Amino acid sequence: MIDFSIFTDAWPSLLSGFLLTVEIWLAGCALAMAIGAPLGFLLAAGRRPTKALVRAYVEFFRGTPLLVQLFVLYYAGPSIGITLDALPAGIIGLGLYGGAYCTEIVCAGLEAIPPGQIGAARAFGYSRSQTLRHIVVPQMLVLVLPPLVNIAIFVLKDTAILSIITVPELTFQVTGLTLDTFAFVEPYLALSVGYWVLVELTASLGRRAEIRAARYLETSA
Amino acid sequence: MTTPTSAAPDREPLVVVRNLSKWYGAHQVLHNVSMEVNRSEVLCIIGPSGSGKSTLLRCVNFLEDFAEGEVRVGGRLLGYREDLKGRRVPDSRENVARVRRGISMVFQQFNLWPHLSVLENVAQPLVVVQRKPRAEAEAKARQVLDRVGLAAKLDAYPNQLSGGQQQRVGIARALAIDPELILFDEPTSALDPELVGEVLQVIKRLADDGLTMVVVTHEMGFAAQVADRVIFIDHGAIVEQGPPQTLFRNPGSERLAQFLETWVERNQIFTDAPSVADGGKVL
Repeated sequence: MIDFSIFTDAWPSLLSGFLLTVEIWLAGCALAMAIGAPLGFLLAAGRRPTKALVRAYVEFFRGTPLLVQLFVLYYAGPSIGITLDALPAGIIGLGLYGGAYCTEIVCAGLEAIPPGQIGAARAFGYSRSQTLRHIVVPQMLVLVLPPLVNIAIFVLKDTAILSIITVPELTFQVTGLTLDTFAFVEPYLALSVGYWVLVELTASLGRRAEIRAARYLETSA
Repeated sequence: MTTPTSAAPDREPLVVVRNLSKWYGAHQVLHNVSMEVNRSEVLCIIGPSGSGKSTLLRCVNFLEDFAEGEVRVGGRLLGYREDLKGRRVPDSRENVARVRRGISMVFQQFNLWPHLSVLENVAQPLVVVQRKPRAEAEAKARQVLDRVGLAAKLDAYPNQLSGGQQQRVGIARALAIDPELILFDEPTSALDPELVGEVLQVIKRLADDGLTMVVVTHEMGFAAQVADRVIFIDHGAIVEQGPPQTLFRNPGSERLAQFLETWVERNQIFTDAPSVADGGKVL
């Protein structure tokens, strides 16, 4: 029988886990974008050696599992002089991992703007930053928003991996509850619902933003 | 070589190109090209595809760099300067923008900005680059859009317009900055045949208003009617130039004669007396 009474005593720890998950998620996404936006520009328009460095970063973090990256950062870090608590290690790990994907997305978005439009801006005297702000970014947003929302969703679900390096986020708390109560169905069901609600919320916010950014395309003849 | 008829022969040419050469890798696309654009002159550049005419036009605006030679606009060097040791070095982006401020350009592929409305496409350079108040910029934009017959399309987006309308927006955008010179890079080559006329009509009207322009074109009839002077380019070099009547009726070179021949043959079907200088029925 399904018995939800096990949550009566557990809800404070579950709530704190939920809030921590949200914090880790937002911090991870912010870090991923802070890495991805500038590196995406460098990958699209930088000099060759810079591009190679950015490319190496992307390949490494995209080519290995997040869990392995977290192990390296958290367990192997101290032996090379990087000592981090579990929480910052987890956030940095998530940010570096998501940042690799964001870099690719921003780069692809930039490359999708037809060069002729940028040439026209130059011919009319726009500076580089004016071209970026008035011509490139508004169009790029439409292209990069959907994949970026996807990355935000991936990062959210990957916060669960941080439980393995003992970050007391939602999955960690729920796992603790299962060990205390030997109940598995109810806790993991609740856990799934918790993530699902956040994912749906993100997706619907993302859709709204996409529609807003793409208003000029709606009117196609 | 015939000297061009100019509205103000006593004044300096607006643009002077001297001994310009350009390479793409090992391939030389422009050979020692020299030319002038006089004020109030309509100069048409014709030549086969790949002859370098668009490249030359883009050098005049410094959208393309070039290895040798110089371009002067209003007497000032464009794109390069001499450093203290007299070496030729690329000029700063700001200086380039300053020197070519009086030049605007109309592109083959229109190159409108799709996320901006027609009005914004025309007004934005005035706000962003010339720092005009938005109201003033929009008033100017309305005025030039009216001039190209698009006063009813201010709020449309480029993808809602026909190719001909898009190119007229491109022309309005070029007009809005009150240019001394407009460069047209094959303005009708990307258009469906039935839309070519409306765009040429607009350009012709600007020519009648005395605007200085350089038009790279495949429309011989248009060149014959509108140009004060025609330059024929082949393999990256100027083969001959002169008033269209002279050039089209009595080509001085075998190459131009051949080039005109193919054009006449293609249009033979429309006309019993294939005189190129009559310009067919383009307008």
